[in-house]
Amino acid sequence: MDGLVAQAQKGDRGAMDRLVCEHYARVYRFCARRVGEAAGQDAAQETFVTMVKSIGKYAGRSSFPTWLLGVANRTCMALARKRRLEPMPLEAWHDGGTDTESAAIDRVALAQALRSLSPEHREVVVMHEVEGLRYAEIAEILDVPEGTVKSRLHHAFLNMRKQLVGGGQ
Amino acid sequence: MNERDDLKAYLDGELTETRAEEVRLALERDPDLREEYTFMKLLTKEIQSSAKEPEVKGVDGARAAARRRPWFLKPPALLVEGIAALFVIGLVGSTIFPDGGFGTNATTRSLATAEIAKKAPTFGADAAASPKTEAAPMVEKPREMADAEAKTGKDMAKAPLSEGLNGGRVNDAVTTSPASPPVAVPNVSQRDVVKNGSLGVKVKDTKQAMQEVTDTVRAMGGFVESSNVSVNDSDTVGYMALRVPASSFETLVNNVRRMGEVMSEALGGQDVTGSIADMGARLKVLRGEEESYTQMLRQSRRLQDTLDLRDRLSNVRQQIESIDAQKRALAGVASMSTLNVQFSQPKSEPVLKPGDWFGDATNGATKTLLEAGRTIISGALYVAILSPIWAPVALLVWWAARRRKAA
Repeated sequence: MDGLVAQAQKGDRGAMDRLVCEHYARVYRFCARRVGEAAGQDAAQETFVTMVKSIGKYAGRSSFPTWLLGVANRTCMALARKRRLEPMPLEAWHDGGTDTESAAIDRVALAQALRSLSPEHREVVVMHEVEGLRYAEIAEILDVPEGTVKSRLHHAFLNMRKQLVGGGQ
Repeated sequence: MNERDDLKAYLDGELTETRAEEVRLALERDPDLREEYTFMKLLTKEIQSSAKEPEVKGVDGARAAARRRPWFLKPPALLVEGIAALFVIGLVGSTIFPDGGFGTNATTRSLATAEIAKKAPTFGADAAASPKTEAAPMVEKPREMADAEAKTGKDMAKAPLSEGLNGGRVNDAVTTSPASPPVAVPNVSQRDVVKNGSLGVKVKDTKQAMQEVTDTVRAMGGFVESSNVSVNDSDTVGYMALRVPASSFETLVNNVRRMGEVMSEALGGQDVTGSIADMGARLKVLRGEEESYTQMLRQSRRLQDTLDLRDRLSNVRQQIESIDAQKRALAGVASMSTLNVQFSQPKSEPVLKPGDWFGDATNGATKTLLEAGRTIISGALYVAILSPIWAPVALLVWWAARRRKAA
């Protein structure tokens, strides 16, 4: 287990503060992509408050950032429910842009294809393609089997291909 | 398994080496699959390149929020929580133990037992004082037996088990808990022992129990020395003094124990074998003396000697009669044992009529509400009255917390 985390678990408030500084950017972006930038700030803050309260429960089965993103994910879901926010709004993580000429795939069409995905599919696409998480990490954060992550990702891309080229099997 | 399903995982490098090799070979074989793979790669790249990178903000707020203690861990909240916890503990305690201390329930039974034991010495007296006492026939004790009991009473107080009855009266009885094993009755088959005891027994029907005991005692060749019944507020208590042959004492005690729940028990015994033997020896000596004086009287020729010898003979014969009477009385007492019994009948629970449940529920709920209200108001009064003690501490803690927060 990370020494800083171990110190924080013993109640070292300095270590806790360092953990916040170290992981804030990643947690904030993760939250902002789920609930939008305004609510993302609240969600990130709430995630760290939960971290302070629950760090004793972290047993080191997964990496600390993965555990923290799991907390952030649950916080975002609760916040979205509470504030009736759209889950994974496209504008929160996808830049439609105007510079479509240089792109291999038309961004407007891509945005439409992404918008057509279910929240579960959008979620894994964002986590894998945008946030760069591995399948195992995504499974840990979402608390689903790794096979489910693989399947969702496969179907998400299949759906997008259908949308963009009208093909697929 | 279809290689197409694993195309994305192959692209992401999430397959095992074997499976990745299979997919790679399939890609080489199948141009459609290859085309799909290329598109997927392109799409992946496009999604990644079009991803927004939100500008990070609010780190200071998060740091401050992480430093902040939850409201329930802040000193003022802790103080209020502590007071609330004490209040709840008090409330629960007063509900569970309405009679006072937490240890009260554990001792209730002992107290009840002691109460019965306290009543025991006043067998008959209570009944006489009670206006509702039913007169019961009193059997007069034979005089010599009473005298002998009175005489042996003092000695009995010294005996280990003699805290029970002395000459038909109960001393400070050693009460035994109903849960404890019954006191062993000493084996006295070969000795002269004055045995007595007292029992407090809770029975379903006092009068019936008294009748049963009377029959048992008569069957044993004993008699009921005294008996009375007292009825107070539908609580019926019966007192009996029983005399039975010593050999039947243990059987009687066991019979009475079996009649109900034993609430108190005190058994005593006084070994009078030595006293009887001593009296026998003294009698033997006196009879020898009597024989000598008789012989001398027969041989006496002088009037003065004859008169002196007759006086002495008369004196010795008086002593012989007296000691003989005492010896017989003591043997008689030892042959008959006394057991004082108190039967108590628990108050009968009122039988609920079918329609009473509503009224009972209403009364019960009202009573509970009133009790809860009284407890809450009492608690609030305590908190208010004790505020000079806790309020300064609370203010100090609050002020310190504010200062710390401001810093």
